[in-house]
Amino acid sequence: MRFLSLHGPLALVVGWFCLGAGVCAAGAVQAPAQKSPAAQKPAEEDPFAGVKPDEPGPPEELNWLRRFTRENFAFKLEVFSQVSAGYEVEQDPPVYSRQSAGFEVLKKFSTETSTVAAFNVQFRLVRRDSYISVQNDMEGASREGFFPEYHNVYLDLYNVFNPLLGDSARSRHVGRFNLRLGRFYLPFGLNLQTDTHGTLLQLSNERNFGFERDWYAGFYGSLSRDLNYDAYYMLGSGYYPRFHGQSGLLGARLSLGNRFQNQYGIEGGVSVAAGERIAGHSAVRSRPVDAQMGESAIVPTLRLGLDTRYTRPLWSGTMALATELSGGEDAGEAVFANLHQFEYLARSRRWGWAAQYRRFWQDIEPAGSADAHSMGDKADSSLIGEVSLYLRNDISASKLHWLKLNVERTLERQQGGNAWLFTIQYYWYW
Amino acid sequence: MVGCKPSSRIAAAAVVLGICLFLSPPPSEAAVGCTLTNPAQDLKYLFPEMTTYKEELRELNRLSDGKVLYAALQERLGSDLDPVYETYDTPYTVYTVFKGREVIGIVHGVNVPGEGGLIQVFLSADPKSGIIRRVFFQRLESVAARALRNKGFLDQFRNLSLADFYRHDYYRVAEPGNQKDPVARIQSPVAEGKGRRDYEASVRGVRKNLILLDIFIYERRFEPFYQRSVEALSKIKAVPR
Repeated sequence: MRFLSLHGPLALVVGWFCLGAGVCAAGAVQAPAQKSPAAQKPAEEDPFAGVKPDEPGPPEELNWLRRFTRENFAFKLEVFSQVSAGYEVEQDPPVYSRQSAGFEVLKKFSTETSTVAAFNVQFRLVRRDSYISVQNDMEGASREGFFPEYHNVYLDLYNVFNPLLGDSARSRHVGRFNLRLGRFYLPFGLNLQTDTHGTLLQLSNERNFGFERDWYAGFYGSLSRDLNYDAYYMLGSGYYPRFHGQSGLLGARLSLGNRFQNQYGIEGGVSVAAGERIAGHSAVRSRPVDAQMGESAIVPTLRLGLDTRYTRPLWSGTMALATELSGGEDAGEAVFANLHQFEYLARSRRWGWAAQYRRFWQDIEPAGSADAHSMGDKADSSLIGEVSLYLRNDISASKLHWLKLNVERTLERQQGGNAWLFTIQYYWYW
Repeated sequence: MVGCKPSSRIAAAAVVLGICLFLSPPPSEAAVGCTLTNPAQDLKYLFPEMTTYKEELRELNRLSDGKVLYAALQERLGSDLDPVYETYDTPYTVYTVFKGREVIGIVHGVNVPGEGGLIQVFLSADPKSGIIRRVFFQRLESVAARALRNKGFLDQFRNLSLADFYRHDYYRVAEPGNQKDPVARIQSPVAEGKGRRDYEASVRGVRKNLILLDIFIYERRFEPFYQRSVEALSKIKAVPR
């Protein structure tokens, strides 16, 4: 509106000029050319007289194997190379090497009238040497050397109640009851709608829960055009699907409908997760948690979360401002996590930069110590800057190729001293 | 490798990185796909009576004559394809909408580069005739976003088909103002200046969308109109002034 108000008078003058010149009437797709001799011919010589669309031929028949591999099937490859160096880290040498190659399979299944299911699996063979604790590879702490990893492993069943419903009910509930089974991002914060599989910058969940993905079963879908939901039962075991007596977690998220993102650039939601999870890192850092949980590392968990992201054009590019807030308890100890991130991507999609501040606070009494402050702070916090050069940067993430330089300064540490961390990453997904 | 010296590990990592960079394709091959972010809700909004929908991934580079079709797309669009947003390996998703077992609509989206960034132009089309029922934007990074999303502007595309755009190629040169040229009557909602290029990109996006639908769904049934338009224009050029 401000644009219109500022330029309105000028536009009016230009508009009058255009009308006078007969330019606007051409629809402005392209300016009309001068009338040629052909323009003088009578209407019955219309060159398109008698031209009709061709009739379609019979549909192509495919056998089941070609249908499987040609219809809604994607097989992706991935190369991920990371070298991280630290200043005043405990490793000697202070250089961490993480190299991997992997693949991803995406397949959707359809009947004659409906897409009914989707399957996704991500696999990597990773080689790690001289591990340093970095934000994007907290799982790697116990995986020195070669380690085969899975990440996403899930099956989605769309509109699962359709077989029980008539056409009228199917119409009312389209997109409302989708079932997800398997391992995927926790339904907490922005991670469900943010792919951090290949990125160095991560969101809050890995630090907040001890894992960013879990095994779960539950429903997701749209309550209305304005509101989406996710509601799952999670094992609370992170990487491996384990039962060590934990009750698991119930997680739910209510989020803004996608139209808010498309029309206003706004995403957001509120989340809750409650129950028990296996979280060895929580027991290690906290004496009460350690005492209560013992070797099982089962931690009573409660989290409430609020998240938002705002995306808009800015300075010949696009900016995104994201915030995740989370509060709750681990075995009765209060926890609070907050993350704030600014990202900028040039309009050419060739380069970008980002800055992130993250902090996880727990009202801990450190494990194995009578002195609450002998082992460090009650919080882990970092300030991170990153520059990215993109060779390919697909908006739907179907093809990615980049080089990133990431610098992290830890500001507070629950365990160990503060450090500078420098990371170079090469990533190719195609 | 477990027993390697640290320096050799770093050297090995550097070699891997070097090989990857050597193997990497040139920057101009970047690709951008276009899908509905919430297909169920978006399609339900467009077709309140729908019961189910089907998604189909389409890629020119997976078709046997994909290179030819990609060249044909550029030729029929009448302008160069963008090296970032409109590459040969760009994936597309076609949504087929059903009421019971009856196909009631086809929905498809494309990306086009605008002055302010990305413009995602979707349209729903009649499954038999290929005529546009509705045009809408998903992402629209433009200073003129509000004007371009205006219903009055978007309604001007209703009932147009790819045949109308091909006819327009001829009429705008040979017979400006011909009543048989509805594309020429489309009025821009944007004043001259900022946003004007986004309007033009949007119209180009509608045309590109129709051409791709003609390839993916309608088996190039509108090709006779393109051929006739080219022939008629070549005759005009052959007439001495």
